[in-house]
Amino acid sequence: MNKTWKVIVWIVIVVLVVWGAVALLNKNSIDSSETIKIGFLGPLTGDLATPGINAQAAVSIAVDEINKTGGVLGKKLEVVYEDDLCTGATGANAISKLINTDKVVAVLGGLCSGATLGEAPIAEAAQTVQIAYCSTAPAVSQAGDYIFRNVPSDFFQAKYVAQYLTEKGKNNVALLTVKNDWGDGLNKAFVDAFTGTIVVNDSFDPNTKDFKTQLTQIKAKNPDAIYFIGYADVTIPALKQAYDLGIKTQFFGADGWDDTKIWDELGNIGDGAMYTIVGTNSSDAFKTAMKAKLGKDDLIYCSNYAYDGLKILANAINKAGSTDKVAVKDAMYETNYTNGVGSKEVKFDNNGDPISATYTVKIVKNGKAEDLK
Amino acid sequence: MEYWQLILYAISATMLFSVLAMGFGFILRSTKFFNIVYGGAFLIGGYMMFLFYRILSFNFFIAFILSILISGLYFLFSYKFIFSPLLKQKASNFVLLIASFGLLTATSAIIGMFFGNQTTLIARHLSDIYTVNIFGTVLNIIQIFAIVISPILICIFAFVYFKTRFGRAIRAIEDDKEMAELVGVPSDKIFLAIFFIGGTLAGLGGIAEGFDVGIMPSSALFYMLPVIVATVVGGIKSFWGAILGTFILVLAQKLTIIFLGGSWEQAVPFVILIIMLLFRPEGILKK
Repeated sequence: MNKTWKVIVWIVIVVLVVWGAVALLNKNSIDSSETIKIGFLGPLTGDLATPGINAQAAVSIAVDEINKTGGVLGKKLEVVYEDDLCTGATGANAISKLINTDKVVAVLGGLCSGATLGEAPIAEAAQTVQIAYCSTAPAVSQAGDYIFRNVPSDFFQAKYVAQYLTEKGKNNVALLTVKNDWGDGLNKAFVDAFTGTIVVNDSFDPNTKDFKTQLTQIKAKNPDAIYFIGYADVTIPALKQAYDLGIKTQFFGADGWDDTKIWDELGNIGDGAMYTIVGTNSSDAFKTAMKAKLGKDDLIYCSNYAYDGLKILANAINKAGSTDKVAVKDAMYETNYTNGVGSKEVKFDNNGDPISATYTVKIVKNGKAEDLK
Repeated sequence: MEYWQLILYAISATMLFSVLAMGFGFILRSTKFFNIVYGGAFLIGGYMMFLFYRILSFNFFIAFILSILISGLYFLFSYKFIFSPLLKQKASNFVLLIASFGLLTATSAIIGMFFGNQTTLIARHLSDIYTVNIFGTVLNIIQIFAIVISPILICIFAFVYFKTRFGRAIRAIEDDKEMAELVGVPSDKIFLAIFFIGGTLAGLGGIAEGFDVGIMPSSALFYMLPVIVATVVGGIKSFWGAILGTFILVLAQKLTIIFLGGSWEQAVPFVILIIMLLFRPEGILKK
């Protein structure tokens, strides 16, 4: 390396360092007074991208509405969106970035239980309020003092499904569960709650696409219903393979099936499948706003809860009167949120879980999921 | 009846994997290292088919030919621009393996950027993949295709490998590359041919899986690991070894699902691999 090159390299280094220092200094002084920042975590890519992007749209609608009515603490509300890929590992990095770099006051997220369970310890250690808008695994109840959720624990979803199946006379059920935090939690709760016979209780790796062997065995056992706990990536091949095998048994799914990608891909193959979701209270105004934002009629239930979640956080910050983290947390426990598009009323118990839970059943007809009347 | 169904499913899975393993074996025997980029060719074949057939609505056969050509070329270029220079520099097997991992990771990431990380199904409508009823058992057309075409492909390759000049040249390079070059075998040209053909085989596998169950960028490693294990178990140095290894592996996996449950399925390749490496590292078939 001759002399000229060395000089150039040194100049570049100096410029970069000075620029970096100036940027950092500017950043610190600008953002602390002008906006209130809340972080958003969700699966914007990957297996759960469809619900994730749907939820992001709902949150942006909520932000606009809040800012139109004066913002939070008199300042503009800004949401920083980060992708947690529905995994705890990516979620942990994403929430660290939100808390330490963006210095958010609170976090709305995650969608997936696995992601939330990875993010919660970091939020708890940083004493930052985190509210999960779609994480239903029972384990989230114990995730920490600063961790909340406005969807109920799967403990209740399992009880609802168990009761529903028994009422409909489905006493012999085959259980197929994906091996992740959400699946494990729901599986265990269902096994505890169901009073009928579980003829098969098998599980599979989330990357599996071949269910032929397991479905063949289940077909031979001839159950009254097959309860399949999984997200889109596993459900599409599984239902197709069940259809190929000529399995006519009623397929039942969990809230992970509220994902339009599944039914779009399957077309008529998925018809007749039923699944439970947490009940929603959509207003026409919300539905119209979502349709306008997405450009199509596609409302996934997590979005209702994401919208409510953001408003709950904004209310708590306003109630606390400051961005002091302990004050915001205390205000959260005193939440009394009404007329939400998710649930009619939200109050938290001392685990940060909502005190009431309603569920509904949806059925797939002609490649579209609709409420079961 | 349930058993016939399980057996048929196991056979169709074996057929697909054995063609993949056979192709992988060629590359392994001639370049003497585990070339993970093979998984990249698998992905490229599948995703190109998705692009041409589903997004651009090309005719099926045109899309198919284009896709396997591209996956073959991809693998060939990986040899020409990455592995050939490394091999000429006498790079160690470790370096070659890491390079192949690097290229695969880059390929997966780029595919993920363009096509997303969710499962991608190539079929225009899932109901296109209809099933056929055979004496009370069912198979879909992809599986029938696998069961019919794979033995034909294997026989063609066996014929070329054992009975033609080209095959003899390949075997010469596998035995001892330097000696082969001394007696006039054009090793560089042979390598280009092997890589291209291997790439098309991997691409074919990607297309088949993309139609049957769907593929995603992480599928590359998901399918490569059983292929590698099958090749090692069956015997690295033998042409038939890969096929035997696949047979054993798929059988073990399906039996595990039946008797131990689905959650153990992914552990089976590794357990078998460790047992083989402990007791007979050269594999079952010697040559």
